[in-house]
Amino acid sequence: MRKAFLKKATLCLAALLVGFMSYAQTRPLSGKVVDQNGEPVAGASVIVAGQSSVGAATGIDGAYRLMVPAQAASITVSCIGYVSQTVPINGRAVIDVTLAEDNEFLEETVVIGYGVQRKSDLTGAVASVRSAELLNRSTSDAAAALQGKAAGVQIFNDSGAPGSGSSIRVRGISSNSGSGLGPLLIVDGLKVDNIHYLDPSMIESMEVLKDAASAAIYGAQAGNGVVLITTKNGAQSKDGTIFYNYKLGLSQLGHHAQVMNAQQYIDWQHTAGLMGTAEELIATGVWDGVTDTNWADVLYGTGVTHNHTIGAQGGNDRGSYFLSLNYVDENGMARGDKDVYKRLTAQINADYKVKSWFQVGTNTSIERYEQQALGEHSEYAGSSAGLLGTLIIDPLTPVYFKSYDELSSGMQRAVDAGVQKVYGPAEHPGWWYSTSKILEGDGINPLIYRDRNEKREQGWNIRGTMFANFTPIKDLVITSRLGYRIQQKYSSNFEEPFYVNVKAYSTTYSISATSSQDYYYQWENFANYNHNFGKHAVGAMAGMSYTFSDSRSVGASLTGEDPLKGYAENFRYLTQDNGSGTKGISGGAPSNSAQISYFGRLTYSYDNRYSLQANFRADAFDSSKLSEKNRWGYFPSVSAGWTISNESFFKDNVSRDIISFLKIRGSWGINGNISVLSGYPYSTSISYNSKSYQFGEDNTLTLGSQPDGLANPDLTWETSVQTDIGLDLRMFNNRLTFGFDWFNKDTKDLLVRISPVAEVGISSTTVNAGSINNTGLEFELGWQDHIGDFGYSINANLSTLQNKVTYLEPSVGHITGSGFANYKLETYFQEGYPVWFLRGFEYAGIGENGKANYYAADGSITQSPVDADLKFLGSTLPALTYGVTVRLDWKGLDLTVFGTGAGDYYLVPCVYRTQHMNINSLTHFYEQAGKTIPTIDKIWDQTDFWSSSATMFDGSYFKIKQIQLGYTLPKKWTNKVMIEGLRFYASMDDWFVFTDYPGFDPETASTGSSTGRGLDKGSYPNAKRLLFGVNISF
Amino acid sequence: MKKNILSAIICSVALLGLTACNQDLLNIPQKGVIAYEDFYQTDDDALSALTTVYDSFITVVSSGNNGINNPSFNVVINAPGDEMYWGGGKKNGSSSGGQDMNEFRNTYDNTIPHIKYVYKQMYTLIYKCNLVIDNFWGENGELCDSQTKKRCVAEARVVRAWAHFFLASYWGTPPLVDHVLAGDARPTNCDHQVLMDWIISEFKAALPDLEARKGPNDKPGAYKITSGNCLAFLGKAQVFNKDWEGAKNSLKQVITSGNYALVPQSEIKDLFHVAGDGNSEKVFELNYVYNEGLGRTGGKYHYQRNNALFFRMLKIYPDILIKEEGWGNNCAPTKQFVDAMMAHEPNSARRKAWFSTYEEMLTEYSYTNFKGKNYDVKSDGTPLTREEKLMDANRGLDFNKYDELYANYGYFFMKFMPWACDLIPNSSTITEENRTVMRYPEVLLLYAEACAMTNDPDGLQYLNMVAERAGAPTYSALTLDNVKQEKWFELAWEGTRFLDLVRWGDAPTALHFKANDPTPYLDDEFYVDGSNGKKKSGKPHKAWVKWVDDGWAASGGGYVVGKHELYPFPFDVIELNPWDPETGVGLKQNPGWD
Repeated sequence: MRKAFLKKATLCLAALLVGFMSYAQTRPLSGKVVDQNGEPVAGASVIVAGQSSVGAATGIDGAYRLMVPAQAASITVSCIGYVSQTVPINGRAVIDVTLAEDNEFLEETVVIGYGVQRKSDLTGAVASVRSAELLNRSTSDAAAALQGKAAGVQIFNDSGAPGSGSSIRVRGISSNSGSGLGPLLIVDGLKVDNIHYLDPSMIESMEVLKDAASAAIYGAQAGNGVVLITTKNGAQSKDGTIFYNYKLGLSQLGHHAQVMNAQQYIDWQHTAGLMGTAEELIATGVWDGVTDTNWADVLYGTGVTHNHTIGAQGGNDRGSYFLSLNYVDENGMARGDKDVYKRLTAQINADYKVKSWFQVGTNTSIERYEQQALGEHSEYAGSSAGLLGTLIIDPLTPVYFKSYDELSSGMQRAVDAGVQKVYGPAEHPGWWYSTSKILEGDGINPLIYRDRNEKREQGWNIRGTMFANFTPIKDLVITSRLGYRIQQKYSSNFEEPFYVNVKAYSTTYSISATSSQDYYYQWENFANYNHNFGKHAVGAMAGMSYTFSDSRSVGASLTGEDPLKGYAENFRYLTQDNGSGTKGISGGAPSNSAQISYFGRLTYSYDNRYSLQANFRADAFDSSKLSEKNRWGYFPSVSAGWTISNESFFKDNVSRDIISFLKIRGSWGINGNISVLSGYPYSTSISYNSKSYQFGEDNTLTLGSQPDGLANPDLTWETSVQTDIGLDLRMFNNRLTFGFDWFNKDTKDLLVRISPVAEVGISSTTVNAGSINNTGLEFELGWQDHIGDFGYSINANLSTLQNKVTYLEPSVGHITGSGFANYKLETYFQEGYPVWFLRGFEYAGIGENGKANYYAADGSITQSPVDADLKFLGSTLPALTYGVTVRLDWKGLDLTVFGTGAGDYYLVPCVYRTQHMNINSLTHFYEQAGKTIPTIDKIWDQTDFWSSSATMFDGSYFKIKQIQLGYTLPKKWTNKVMIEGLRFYASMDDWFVFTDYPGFDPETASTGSSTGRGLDKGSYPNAKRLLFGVNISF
Repeated sequence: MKKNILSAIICSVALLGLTACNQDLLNIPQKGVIAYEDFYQTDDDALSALTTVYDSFITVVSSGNNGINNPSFNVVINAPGDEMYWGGGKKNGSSSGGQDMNEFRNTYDNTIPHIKYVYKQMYTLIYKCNLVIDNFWGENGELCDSQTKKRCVAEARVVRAWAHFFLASYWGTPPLVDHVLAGDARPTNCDHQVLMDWIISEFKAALPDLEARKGPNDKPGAYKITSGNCLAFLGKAQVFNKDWEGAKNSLKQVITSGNYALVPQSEIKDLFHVAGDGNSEKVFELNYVYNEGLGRTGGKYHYQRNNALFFRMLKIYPDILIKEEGWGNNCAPTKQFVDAMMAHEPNSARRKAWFSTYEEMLTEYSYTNFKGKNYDVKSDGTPLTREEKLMDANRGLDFNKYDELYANYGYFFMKFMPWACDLIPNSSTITEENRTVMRYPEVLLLYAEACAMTNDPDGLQYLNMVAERAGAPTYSALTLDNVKQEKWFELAWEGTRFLDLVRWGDAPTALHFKANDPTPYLDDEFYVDGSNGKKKSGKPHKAWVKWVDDGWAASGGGYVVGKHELYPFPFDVIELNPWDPETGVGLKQNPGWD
């Protein structure tokens, strides 16, 4: 409503302006325009009939006043959303008008697959997010902008690093697979691999097809839901619009992890008997008595992001255009310039009616990006690790060693030899980055890996569609659409020999580069027929599509102790190879896939009361996914809706002022998940010359070939059967909107790698042998109204999710996901439990002897648990997600507060290790020692304790993602300088985080893989951001 | 207008039709593979399939559950014997169960990863053999139409029988798998005697189609299955089967073939290094040659301490060894073994090649070029004397890594230590010495044992041949005890001892010490006790052993007669295929391991 109001106000503005012009022979006319409920209608235009240059617009109170020519006979009152009325003047000076709502208009249309549908006719569960919800967010990622905006849609960020994309999960997780969990993503009809390239400002709407019936039109690809994105298109208007938006973002570390400071660390370590007292440490020179390094502050400073969007749009009754250029330059909050993301995206949307029966158009996006990211998600000091270091290095180590004497003996040796680089700050020649002398372990000074990082990626992507619509007869539209993606990517890396400690060093240079180019096209032809007769409305759609993709890459690498002709900046390329290094090559073989599909839909509705819809899709996939005998799949769905509020018994008895709209709907359907299949998983071939032995005295190889597994030609995709029951309600003249959905989704035929018995001699083979159930409730509640000039709205959504593995091949028993160090705490996939739950020992408090107690399998207390006592500790998947958006506006000022949260799940910060007892850990373990957990001397070497629920934390959080205050300058000022609209705003994004989680960011806590959700192995946290922006249009 | 409509409809239908029908668009051939049906045809295919057997054999013996730390094969064949302590730096080192097995701790159970790994890998090896045999032999040789195929099948049969012999020895009644099994197979235990008889018949059946080694200098003849090593395996199986006459017959054929000979005393130290690869006393070994083309993922090399009998606790290392890096297992010879050998042959070439004393380690090796520095000379260039070396603070145990060394009696393995000369080019960690499966002295000593059991004096010469070559005292009589002692010394840590102890009934007494006696912790008198190497005592370097009762016996550990003779079937294996007495399907656990 609020939005509708703004729109009306804008469109009626012209009328207002001309109203100021007055004629010589005029007389005053005034009145009030109200709706059927007597509420004032603001922004309605009141025009003298036949003389559109004379008119006025109603104010916020519905009142209008204008001078009409003396001879004027009638006025026309119109406003978008209402049925226009022409009223004879009949010499009156005051005319009050009551406008009837135009139901047709109030019904937003919603994009569904291969067509659109009126929202009131929807029989499935479709969440729709409009452009207004996506405006002016600090994120440059369309998926991230969806967070908290739609019930039943979860957004996971494994990383907050610049340029990292978020992943979308619709209605839980219904696969054990590591990939293929996300929904099918369709942008303007084009299937895309991510939507991370799309700046939210280019999006008109995002529709999430959640239930099986809605998604079924995408068949075997829709098992995890479908997200349909429509980019903006030009609006029909007399004159076009030029717009420019700028955002400046400043990012800083938001939620800090709580790690021990120097005094706490020493105290804790001393209690364990691992370290002397502070005095002893000072006496022996291990500690200077002063240093208390906060490693997070060492790495993270302030990042700066610039985001410019410039474009133009417009249209008339024949065509429209939307052109936009978006440039993002993000330098993340890690100090220095090693976490950067730059992206330029051009969006070109246009359509034109060439003939009355023939329309052509295109939606094309051209993207250029460059990215450099720090290594994350690893507990080991490999070449890419680094971020976990901010948690685990002891605070006694200073950031820099300022003289040679301070270096560890290993570093001194490296400096002496001069072959391995010992990193130091460029701004302080003669200094070096420190390493902990207390523990030569995986906790590495994060600045070293930051400076070492020369891994770069850049690429071009062109994604788009071209279409033609034929309208040979009324109500029939035949569309032929070609979609294409052309992707070119180049990544390179340069590593030099370096030395930090015995676990983090290299003696060789390593130079590599990979170039890849992919293309994809889809050709779709479909026809839509919609016809109304009497009270009947019928619709039919039928079509087919063919898709093909080709990807190929070539990579090369060079390693060696001295492989290049030179090592200056401009020599660090493969071409400078001096012939002495070891060369590696990769790639060269194209990877192709193809798909043929037929699909259709029938809709029928009677008298706006009963709606029925049926979808059907048949999909066939290429031989890299399925065997020929199993390549076809058929996906039917049906859904129905009953708009009770349009029944006469309802209309006659219930006031529209109380319940304006009530519909119940239900759907059932089948979807598939094909994305888990790739690489000929069903077949057994001979891995030709893949093995070798040297029978002779020299290193001549004899090559051997063997089968690569056991064939399973019956292998098929994962299939979901989903039932959805929903209710849509609008009350109090549409001020209150309420939506409710219950769903039950059973997914079967999960791909499971089973191990035949050991004696078969084959380690594993893939079968369809697992099932998952997801069920949940989704609520959406909105209220919007205004009090005089003050408009406000609250929109909230909440969804619950119960996720459970309902079957897993008994011979598999369980699948182990991710673990940490030598601990028995792992994520597990097992029948009867949520996917990838945390499994470990259940901590039972402190025993009388001060040691940790655990619950044994039989419920008794034990201090030496055995493997049989390992049990379900908690789910890593939030059972509750919610979002609240509050908008207020008053005379050009607008305030948006948006928060989102998740609850009822658990996280394990991967910090302390019994293998490396001297690493730092969370303050929690210090503060709780002797209270809720044993003192450190009782647990420092107890892997059982660190494998127990005592190391697990509630991951629930609520984040205020956005507090944005904006001011739109009055048009009467801006118009004078030809500016159509000018808005300034400031925003605090991700500023307030409410959580008990002691690590950095409960949202990004992950190993970076879907099986490792919940194990926090050091990810780049989401920053808090301060945003300043301006939106200007001409 | 009508025309337009018509043409538009025709166009659309044509468009639909164009892409609608052709399902060939979906046939995308897989790259880099050939179809199963097209393979297993020619002689070349047979050789190719056989190659995977050897490849798999390498996987069995040199990789492991815990990869670079603990090659499982070494743990399984050595840990329960009486020759070594499984160190690991500290008493609960990350040994994936090696220490638990070694000390018969109460934590030694059916989930030990090493046992599982070797069991599974052994059946993978059998599967590779069966692919050759099923596809080129068939049921009765009907698929075998060439001499090459015959030989390939014969070699695969020997490896398959060897693997079954290994399984039968350690697990008693493992399933007999003589063909490729289907994915849903549920194999069951095979009676031990039935299995032994089958193994022996298989060795015999394969013999006629095998090539012989071409003389003692035929190195490639040691890298593959020949009639010689088939006979040696056969003889060993016959000894285990107490078929003494059969064993004598088989083993004597190996001895008289002239294709094998002991290397001279001076070459003992080279036996397990590149210099000794394929030498005259190698009956069968797996050939490791680093291949540039395969890179470092091809598996034909050892990574650092891949033979597990390694130590990593010195400040600096003798030149002869590969460079100090990473972690170590710090396995060490037991007091029982050291004392016995030091009493019998304290200065023999064999003893010095097998292990060093702490003092020898510090004084008898050169430390001249370690990391570019000469530790054997003073600053003025004059060499350090023995006494000065013993007072040299650069040398000795490194207390930055360990406060004291768990389970070390002051002696250090040398037998299997990777040497700098074993390194592949341009690497400081990767070596390419071969992995020996059977050595000629074992043949001689098995023959001697069979003779001793049948009072046949012919065996004495071979017993003394081994002792003499070692530089050890010879024996005047052929007794079983003499054979036992000589075999203990000669084949130490080569994986024969535990099976012998069980076979001879000596295990309960010989292994009694393991959980029951205190454990030696090694320190150095050079430092003040308890100073973690921070304060010097003023005394020279000297091994200083402290005996600590770690309480394994008190916590229920120790060798259990009737249980520990055999390994458990791994927990996972039994869980997947549990014994069902109703149907007789599934696998029965070994006694005492349920």
